[in-house]
Amino acid sequence: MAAVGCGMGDDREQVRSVVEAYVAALERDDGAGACAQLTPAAREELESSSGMQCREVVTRLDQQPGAIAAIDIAAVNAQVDLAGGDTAFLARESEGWRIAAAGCRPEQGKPADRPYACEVQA
Amino acid sequence: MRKLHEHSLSIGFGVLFLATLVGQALVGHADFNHDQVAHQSDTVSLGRYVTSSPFWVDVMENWQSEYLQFTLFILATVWLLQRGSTESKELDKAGPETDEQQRLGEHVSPDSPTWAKAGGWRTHLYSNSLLLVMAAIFVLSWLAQAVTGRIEYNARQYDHQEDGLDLVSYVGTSDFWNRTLQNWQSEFLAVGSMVVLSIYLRQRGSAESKPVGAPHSATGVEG
Repeated sequence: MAAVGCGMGDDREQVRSVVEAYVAALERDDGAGACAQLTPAAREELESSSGMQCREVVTRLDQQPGAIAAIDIAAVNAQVDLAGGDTAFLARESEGWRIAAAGCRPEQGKPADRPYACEVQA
Repeated sequence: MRKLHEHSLSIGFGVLFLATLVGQALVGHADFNHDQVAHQSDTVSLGRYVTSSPFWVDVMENWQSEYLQFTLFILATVWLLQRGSTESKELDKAGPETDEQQRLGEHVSPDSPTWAKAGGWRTHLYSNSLLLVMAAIFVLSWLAQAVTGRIEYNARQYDHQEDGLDLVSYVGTSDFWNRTLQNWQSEFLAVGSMVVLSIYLRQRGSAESKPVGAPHSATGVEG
Protein backbone atom coordinates (compact mmCIF):
# COMPACT_ATOMS: atom_id res chain seq x y z
CA MET A 1 0.00 0.00 0.00
CA ALA A 2 1.36 3.33 -0.99
CA ALA A 3 1.83 5.98 1.62
CA VAL A 4 -0.92 8.19 0.30
CA GLY A 5 -2.33 6.26 -2.62
CA CYS A 6 -2.42 7.81 -6.05
CA GLY A 7 -0.95 11.16 -4.94
CA MET A 8 2.44 9.60 -4.16
CA GLY A 9 4.32 10.86 -7.25
CA ASP A 10 2.87 14.35 -6.90
CA ASP A 11 3.79 14.39 -3.23
CA ARG A 12 7.43 13.57 -3.96
CA GLU A 13 7.63 16.36 -6.53
CA GLN A 14 5.96 18.86 -4.22
CA VAL A 15 8.26 17.94 -1.33
CA ARG A 16 11.30 18.28 -3.58
CA SER A 17 10.07 21.61 -4.93
CA VAL A 18 9.42 23.07 -1.44
CA VAL A 19 12.80 22.03 -0.08
CA GLU A 20 14.64 23.26 -3.18
CA ALA A 21 12.83 26.61 -2.90
CA TYR A 22 13.82 26.84 0.79
CA VAL A 23 17.47 26.02 0.09
CA ALA A 24 17.60 28.43 -2.87
CA ALA A 25 16.09 31.22 -0.73
CA LEU A 26 18.71 30.65 2.00
CA GLU A 27 21.50 30.76 -0.59
CA ARG A 28 20.35 34.14 -1.94
CA ASP A 29 19.72 35.45 1.58
CA ASP A 30 15.98 35.75 0.88
CA GLY A 31 14.38 35.41 4.33
CA ALA A 32 10.82 36.00 3.10
CA GLY A 33 11.24 33.35 0.42
CA ALA A 34 12.54 30.83 2.96
CA CYS A 35 9.78 31.60 5.48
CA ALA A 36 7.13 31.06 2.78
CA GLN A 37 8.18 27.39 2.70
CA LEU A 38 7.67 26.89 6.46
CA THR A 39 4.48 25.74 8.17
CA PRO A 40 2.65 28.51 10.05
CA ALA A 41 3.46 26.73 13.34
CA ALA A 42 7.19 26.64 12.49
CA ARG A 43 7.16 30.35 11.60
CA GLU A 44 5.37 31.25 14.82
CA GLU A 45 7.73 29.20 16.95
CA LEU A 46 10.76 30.77 15.27
CA GLU A 47 9.39 34.27 15.82
CA SER A 48 8.40 33.69 19.44
CA SER A 49 11.70 32.05 20.36
CA SER A 50 13.84 34.71 18.62
CA GLY A 51 11.69 37.79 19.20
CA MET A 52 12.30 38.72 15.54
CA GLN A 53 10.39 38.47 12.28
CA CYS A 54 10.81 35.12 10.58
CA ARG A 55 12.30 36.70 7.44
CA GLU A 56 14.92 38.50 9.54
CA VAL A 57 16.09 35.50 11.56
CA VAL A 58 15.76 32.48 9.27
CA THR A 59 18.86 33.30 7.23
CA ARG A 60 20.97 33.85 10.35
CA LEU A 61 20.51 30.34 11.73
CA ASP A 62 23.21 27.67 11.71
CA GLN A 63 22.02 25.70 8.69
CA GLN A 64 24.02 23.55 6.27
CA PRO A 65 21.53 22.71 3.52
CA GLY A 66 22.82 21.78 0.04
CA ALA A 67 21.25 19.60 -2.62
CA ILE A 68 18.64 16.97 -1.83
CA ALA A 69 20.24 13.62 -1.02
CA ALA A 70 17.19 11.55 -0.04
CA ILE A 71 13.41 11.92 0.31
CA ASP A 72 11.10 9.61 2.24
CA ILE A 73 7.38 10.29 2.38
CA ALA A 74 5.21 8.61 5.03
CA ALA A 75 1.49 9.43 4.84
CA VAL A 76 1.27 13.17 5.65
CA ASN A 77 4.88 13.57 6.84
CA ALA A 78 8.22 13.47 5.07
CA GLN A 79 11.95 13.46 5.81
CA VAL A 80 14.46 15.04 3.44
CA ASP A 81 18.21 14.61 3.87
CA LEU A 82 20.41 17.32 2.38
CA ALA A 83 23.94 16.98 1.06
CA GLY A 84 25.22 19.69 3.42
CA GLY A 85 24.38 17.50 6.43
CA ASP A 86 21.04 18.98 7.44
CA THR A 87 17.74 17.13 7.53
CA ALA A 88 14.33 18.74 7.02
CA PHE A 89 10.96 17.36 8.13
CA LEU A 90 7.82 18.32 6.23
CA ALA A 91 4.09 18.10 6.87
CA ARG A 92 1.22 18.30 4.44
CA GLU A 93 -0.71 21.51 5.17
CA SER A 94 -3.85 22.98 3.61
CA GLU A 95 -1.69 24.96 1.16
CA GLY A 96 0.40 21.86 0.34
CA TRP A 97 3.66 20.44 1.71
CA ARG A 98 5.55 22.79 4.02
CA ILE A 99 8.68 22.50 6.15
CA ALA A 100 7.84 21.80 9.80
CA ALA A 101 11.47 21.53 10.93
CA ALA A 102 14.74 22.55 9.24
CA GLY A 103 18.42 22.69 10.01
CA CYS A 104 18.07 19.39 11.87
CA ARG A 105 20.99 17.22 12.90
CA PRO A 106 20.92 13.97 14.87
CA GLU A 107 21.58 14.15 18.60
CA GLN A 108 24.20 11.88 20.10
CA GLY A 109 23.09 8.25 20.32
CA LYS A 110 21.00 6.16 18.02
CA PRO A 111 19.08 8.55 15.76
CA ALA A 112 15.89 6.47 15.74
CA ASP A 113 15.68 6.63 19.51
CA ARG A 114 15.78 10.38 19.93
CA PRO A 115 14.64 13.46 18.03
CA TYR A 116 16.98 15.53 15.89
CA ALA A 117 18.06 18.93 17.19
CA CYS A 118 16.60 21.50 14.81
CA GLU A 119 17.28 25.21 14.17
CA VAL A 120 13.65 25.68 13.06
CA GLN A 121 10.90 23.53 14.47
CA ALA A 122 7.21 23.80 15.24
CA MET B 1 -35.31 -16.29 -3.38
CA ARG B 2 -34.52 -19.89 -2.51
CA LYS B 3 -30.91 -19.36 -3.65
CA LEU B 4 -30.67 -16.32 -1.39
CA HIS B 5 -31.92 -18.40 1.53
CA GLU B 6 -29.47 -21.20 0.79
CA HIS B 7 -26.54 -18.76 0.78
CA SER B 8 -27.79 -16.45 3.49
CA LEU B 9 -24.89 -17.21 5.85
CA SER B 10 -22.17 -16.08 3.40
CA ILE B 11 -24.27 -13.19 2.09
CA GLY B 12 -25.12 -12.04 5.61
CA PHE B 13 -21.51 -11.97 6.71
CA GLY B 14 -20.44 -10.38 3.40
CA VAL B 15 -22.86 -7.53 4.02
CA LEU B 16 -21.76 -7.20 7.65
CA PHE B 17 -18.12 -7.09 6.52
CA LEU B 18 -18.71 -4.32 3.97
CA ALA B 19 -20.88 -2.29 6.36
CA THR B 20 -18.32 -2.43 9.16
CA LEU B 21 -15.43 -1.68 6.77
CA VAL B 22 -17.26 1.45 5.61
CA GLY B 23 -18.00 2.31 9.25
CA GLN B 24 -14.32 1.86 10.14
CA ALA B 25 -13.32 4.12 7.24
CA LEU B 26 -15.70 6.87 8.37
CA VAL B 27 -14.80 6.87 12.05
CA GLY B 28 -11.11 6.24 11.31
CA HIS B 29 -11.14 9.29 9.02
CA ALA B 30 -12.72 11.40 11.75
CA ASP B 31 -10.20 10.13 14.31
CA PHE B 32 -7.25 10.74 11.97
CA ASN B 33 -8.35 14.31 11.29
CA HIS B 34 -8.89 14.88 15.00
CA ASP B 35 -5.21 14.02 15.53
CA GLN B 36 -4.18 16.19 12.60
CA VAL B 37 -5.95 19.21 14.11
CA ALA B 38 -4.44 18.47 17.53
CA HIS B 39 -0.99 18.56 15.87
CA GLN B 40 -1.83 21.81 14.03
CA SER B 41 -1.72 19.94 10.73
CA ASP B 42 -4.12 19.96 7.82
CA THR B 43 -7.05 17.54 7.65
CA VAL B 44 -7.22 15.01 4.78
CA SER B 45 -10.13 13.99 2.55
CA LEU B 46 -11.92 10.66 3.03
CA GLY B 47 -10.59 9.45 -0.34
CA ARG B 48 -7.05 10.22 0.67
CA TYR B 49 -7.52 8.57 4.06
CA VAL B 50 -8.89 5.28 2.69
CA THR B 51 -5.90 4.97 0.35
CA SER B 52 -3.43 5.74 3.12
CA SER B 53 -1.29 3.52 5.32
CA PRO B 54 -2.87 4.73 8.60
CA PHE B 55 -6.19 3.21 7.42
CA TRP B 56 -4.79 0.02 5.91
CA VAL B 57 -2.53 -0.88 8.81
CA ASP B 58 -5.59 -0.99 11.06
CA VAL B 59 -7.43 -3.18 8.54
CA MET B 60 -4.49 -5.51 7.90
CA GLU B 61 -3.58 -6.10 11.54
CA ASN B 62 -7.08 -7.43 12.13
CA TRP B 63 -7.22 -9.49 8.94
CA GLN B 64 -3.93 -11.25 9.60
CA SER B 65 -4.97 -12.28 13.10
CA GLU B 66 -8.32 -13.64 11.93
CA TYR B 67 -6.72 -15.72 9.20
CA LEU B 68 -4.01 -16.91 11.59
CA GLN B 69 -6.72 -17.99 14.03
CA PHE B 70 -8.50 -20.10 11.42
CA THR B 71 -5.23 -21.43 9.95
CA LEU B 72 -4.10 -22.67 13.36
CA PHE B 73 -7.55 -23.97 14.21
CA ILE B 74 -7.75 -25.96 10.95
CA LEU B 75 -4.28 -27.39 11.60
CA ALA B 76 -4.67 -28.03 15.33
CA THR B 77 -7.99 -29.84 14.99
CA VAL B 78 -6.34 -32.49 12.80
CA TRP B 79 -4.51 -33.82 15.88
CA LEU B 80 -5.71 -32.05 19.02
CA LEU B 81 -8.97 -33.10 20.66
CA GLN B 82 -11.35 -31.78 23.29
CA ARG B 83 -13.76 -34.20 24.91
CA GLY B 84 -17.29 -32.86 24.72
CA SER B 85 -16.57 -29.97 22.34
CA THR B 86 -18.35 -29.30 19.06
CA GLU B 87 -15.04 -27.96 17.74
CA SER B 88 -13.28 -31.33 18.20
CA LYS B 89 -13.37 -34.48 16.14
CA GLU B 90 -14.45 -37.70 17.76
CA LEU B 91 -11.78 -38.89 20.17
CA ASP B 92 -10.64 -41.87 18.07
CA LYS B 93 -10.09 -39.84 14.90
CA ALA B 94 -6.95 -37.82 15.71
CA GLY B 95 -4.66 -37.43 12.70
CA PRO B 96 -5.22 -37.20 8.93
CA GLU B 97 -7.58 -40.23 9.00
CA THR B 98 -7.83 -43.10 6.51
CA ASP B 99 -8.74 -42.82 2.83
CA GLU B 100 -12.05 -44.51 3.67
CA GLN B 101 -12.88 -41.87 6.30
CA GLN B 102 -11.82 -39.10 3.92
CA ARG B 103 -13.59 -40.68 0.92
CA LEU B 104 -10.43 -40.89 -1.18
CA GLY B 105 -8.87 -43.49 -3.51
CA GLU B 106 -11.32 -46.32 -4.10
CA HIS B 107 -13.79 -44.63 -1.76
CA VAL B 108 -14.48 -41.56 -3.93
CA SER B 109 -18.00 -41.07 -5.20
CA PRO B 110 -19.16 -39.68 -8.57
CA ASP B 111 -19.97 -36.33 -6.99
CA SER B 112 -16.59 -36.02 -5.20
CA PRO B 113 -14.57 -32.90 -6.21
CA THR B 114 -12.52 -33.43 -9.39
CA TRP B 115 -9.13 -33.10 -7.69
CA ALA B 116 -10.22 -35.50 -4.91
CA LYS B 117 -10.77 -38.12 -7.62
CA ALA B 118 -7.64 -37.18 -9.63
CA GLY B 119 -5.09 -38.89 -7.37
CA GLY B 120 -1.38 -38.01 -7.11
CA TRP B 121 -0.18 -34.47 -6.38
CA ARG B 122 -3.54 -32.91 -7.21
CA THR B 123 -5.37 -34.89 -4.53
CA HIS B 124 -2.53 -34.25 -2.09
CA LEU B 125 -2.71 -30.51 -2.78
CA TYR B 126 -6.50 -30.47 -2.64
CA SER B 127 -6.39 -32.40 0.65
CA ASN B 128 -4.59 -29.42 2.20
CA SER B 129 -6.12 -26.61 0.13
CA LEU B 130 -8.17 -25.00 2.90
CA LEU B 131 -5.14 -24.74 5.18
CA LEU B 132 -2.87 -23.51 2.37
CA VAL B 133 -5.20 -20.76 1.21
CA MET B 134 -5.96 -19.53 4.73
CA ALA B 135 -2.24 -19.60 5.60
CA ALA B 136 -1.39 -17.69 2.40
CA ILE B 137 -3.95 -14.97 3.20
CA PHE B 138 -2.54 -14.78 6.74
CA VAL B 139 1.04 -14.36 5.51
CA LEU B 140 0.11 -11.78 2.87
CA SER B 141 -2.02 -9.70 5.24
CA TRP B 142 0.70 -9.86 7.93
CA LEU B 143 3.21 -8.66 5.35
CA ALA B 144 0.78 -5.89 4.35
CA GLN B 145 0.51 -4.96 8.03
CA ALA B 146 4.30 -4.63 8.18
CA VAL B 147 4.47 -2.51 5.00
CA THR B 148 1.64 -0.14 5.96
CA GLY B 149 2.61 -0.14 9.64
CA ARG B 150 6.12 1.00 8.78
CA ILE B 151 4.80 3.98 6.81
CA GLU B 152 2.38 4.92 9.60
CA TYR B 153 5.21 4.53 12.16
CA ASN B 154 7.58 6.65 10.08
CA ALA B 155 4.94 9.38 9.75
CA ARG B 156 4.89 9.64 13.55
CA GLN B 157 8.69 9.54 13.67
CA TYR B 158 8.95 12.41 11.16
CA ASP B 159 6.30 14.38 13.00
CA HIS B 160 8.60 14.21 16.04
CA GLN B 161 11.80 14.96 14.06
CA GLU B 162 13.03 11.40 14.39
CA ASP B 163 14.51 9.02 11.82
CA GLY B 164 12.34 6.55 9.94
CA LEU B 165 13.01 2.81 9.79
CA ASP B 166 13.37 0.36 6.90
CA LEU B 167 11.04 -2.64 6.74
CA VAL B 168 13.42 -5.11 8.40
CA SER B 169 14.09 -2.74 11.29
CA TYR B 170 10.38 -2.01 11.64
CA VAL B 171 9.38 -5.66 12.11
CA GLY B 172 11.72 -5.73 15.12
CA THR B 173 9.98 -2.80 16.83
CA SER B 174 7.61 -2.90 19.75
CA ASP B 175 5.08 -1.04 17.57
CA PHE B 176 4.86 -3.94 15.10
CA TRP B 177 4.67 -6.62 17.78
CA ASN B 178 2.22 -4.66 19.91
CA ARG B 179 -0.13 -4.41 16.94
CA THR B 180 0.39 -8.11 16.22
CA LEU B 181 0.14 -9.65 19.69
CA GLN B 182 -2.81 -7.57 20.88
CA ASN B 183 -4.80 -9.14 18.03
CA TRP B 184 -3.43 -12.66 18.40
CA GLN B 185 -4.24 -12.94 22.09
CA SER B 186 -7.89 -12.02 21.55
CA GLU B 187 -8.24 -14.53 18.71
CA PHE B 188 -6.76 -17.35 20.76
CA LEU B 189 -8.97 -16.47 23.71
CA ALA B 190 -12.07 -16.53 21.51
CA VAL B 191 -11.17 -19.91 19.98
CA GLY B 192 -10.30 -21.42 23.36
CA SER B 193 -13.54 -20.10 24.84
CA MET B 194 -15.57 -21.58 21.99
CA VAL B 195 -13.87 -24.96 22.39
CA VAL B 196 -14.58 -25.13 26.13
CA LEU B 197 -17.97 -23.38 26.34
CA SER B 198 -19.43 -25.58 23.61
CA ILE B 199 -18.96 -28.55 25.95
CA TYR B 200 -21.43 -27.20 28.51
CA LEU B 201 -23.55 -24.53 26.80
CA ARG B 202 -26.05 -24.81 23.96
CA GLN B 203 -27.67 -22.61 21.33
CA ARG B 204 -30.74 -24.30 20.02
CA GLY B 205 -30.63 -24.58 16.23
CA SER B 206 -27.03 -23.39 15.75
CA ALA B 207 -24.58 -25.43 13.69
CA GLU B 208 -21.92 -24.40 16.21
CA SER B 209 -23.75 -26.01 19.13
CA LYS B 210 -24.64 -29.55 20.10
CA PRO B 211 -28.35 -30.34 20.27
CA VAL B 212 -29.69 -28.94 23.53
CA GLY B 213 -30.34 -32.40 24.95
CA ALA B 214 -26.97 -33.85 23.94
CA PRO B 215 -24.75 -34.90 26.89
CA HIS B 216 -21.69 -32.85 27.83
CA SER B 217 -19.50 -35.85 27.00
CA ALA B 218 -20.68 -36.07 23.36
CA THR B 219 -17.74 -35.10 21.14
CA GLY B 220 -17.74 -34.13 17.45
CA VAL B 221 -21.49 -33.60 17.43
CA GLU B 222 -23.07 -30.47 15.97
CA GLY B 223 -26.72 -29.49 15.95
